[in-house]
Amino acid sequence: MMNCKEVRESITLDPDDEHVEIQAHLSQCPSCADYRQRQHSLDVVLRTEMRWETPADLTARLLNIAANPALFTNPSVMLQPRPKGWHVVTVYTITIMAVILSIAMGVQLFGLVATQVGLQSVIDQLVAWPSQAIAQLIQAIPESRYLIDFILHARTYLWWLLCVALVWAVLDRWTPQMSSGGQQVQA
Amino acid sequence: MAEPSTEIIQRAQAGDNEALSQLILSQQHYVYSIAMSVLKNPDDAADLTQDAFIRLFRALPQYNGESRFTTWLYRLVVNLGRDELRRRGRQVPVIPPVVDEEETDPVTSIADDDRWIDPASALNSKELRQEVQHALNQLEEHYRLVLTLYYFDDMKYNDIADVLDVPLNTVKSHIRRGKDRLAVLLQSHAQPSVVEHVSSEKRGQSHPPMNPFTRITSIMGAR
Repeated sequence: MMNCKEVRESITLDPDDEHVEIQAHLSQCPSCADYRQRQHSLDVVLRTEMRWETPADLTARLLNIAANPALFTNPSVMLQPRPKGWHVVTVYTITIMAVILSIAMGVQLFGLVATQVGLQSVIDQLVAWPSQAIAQLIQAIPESRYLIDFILHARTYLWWLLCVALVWAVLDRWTPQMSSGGQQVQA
Repeated sequence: MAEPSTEIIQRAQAGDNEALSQLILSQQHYVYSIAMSVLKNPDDAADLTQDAFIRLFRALPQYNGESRFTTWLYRLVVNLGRDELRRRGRQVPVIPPVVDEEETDPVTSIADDDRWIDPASALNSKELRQEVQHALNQLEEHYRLVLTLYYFDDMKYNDIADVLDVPLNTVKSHIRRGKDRLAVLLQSHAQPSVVEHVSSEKRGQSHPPMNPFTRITSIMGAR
């Protein structure tokens, strides 16, 4: 006859163990029967929680590799690890700063050139054009004033909303791909 | 764990695209689960899975059928995961040898929790499953890896021993202790002081401190 310790050791490894001696023990020992029930529950939950579903984009990448033997048959094609998160953040930050700086310098340079060439009046007209267009619109359709007032009042909030949407979209799409010897391995 | 047929393996060895795709579709969940078990980060696990399949396809011609195909594949994934951890200077889940220690019966200690009485209700409890996920994240790497393989369908103890390159008794012992340890973590979920006490006494070692960059990138990766 197996004792409680032996039975529980067997049950821990296999709660569904149908060994005759174990069944005989369980029929007489409510404590071990309860132990088996809880082990079974633990197994059911763990079996589910320890199995991970493959992301759809990963499946697509893998199938793409299977369909392109050049990606894995060529020994010179070595995988390089995906760039680290902090590295990507640094690169993105520097890139964005460089773009902003370039635009600012471009605007300054264009202003100088425009002044030299005599385009300042044209630029002034272009800058003033939206205000003139709005004034003409209000003159033509007086009711449009309400809509324009609303948009002007909400302009700041709309800008913020646009910025948040932009950041959201960037973060949502931000899945850097692993490079493979210069070839992008993706679906 | 569906073992691919000999015909599929032979066709894949010959470079048949359809057979390679079938191998991917039948094995990707298992490979990804092992990768998640080792690296605990979806992006890193995806990269490891992709790397594993590329290496598998390259090594396919050398597969001679001496061991089960799945065992051969999972060993490759486990070794790749360990290499990746070494590359990052993180603790590698090497299975420690079996040592005698005081016998505990932690699963009895969750006996007061009625949620574990019925498997179906346990599975349906969102709160319970979150607690299990939390406990799994705290579980030592070598236990988590053994348990991951243990819960694959049709994975026998001998197969797990082959994959991890450890004796059969070590596998059985670590399955038992891993489940016991998990039960302790689950029980002490509401009693953090017990977790700290158990982890410092039973583990006898602590994880190396994670550098700030790794911490930040792991948080970003878990997004």
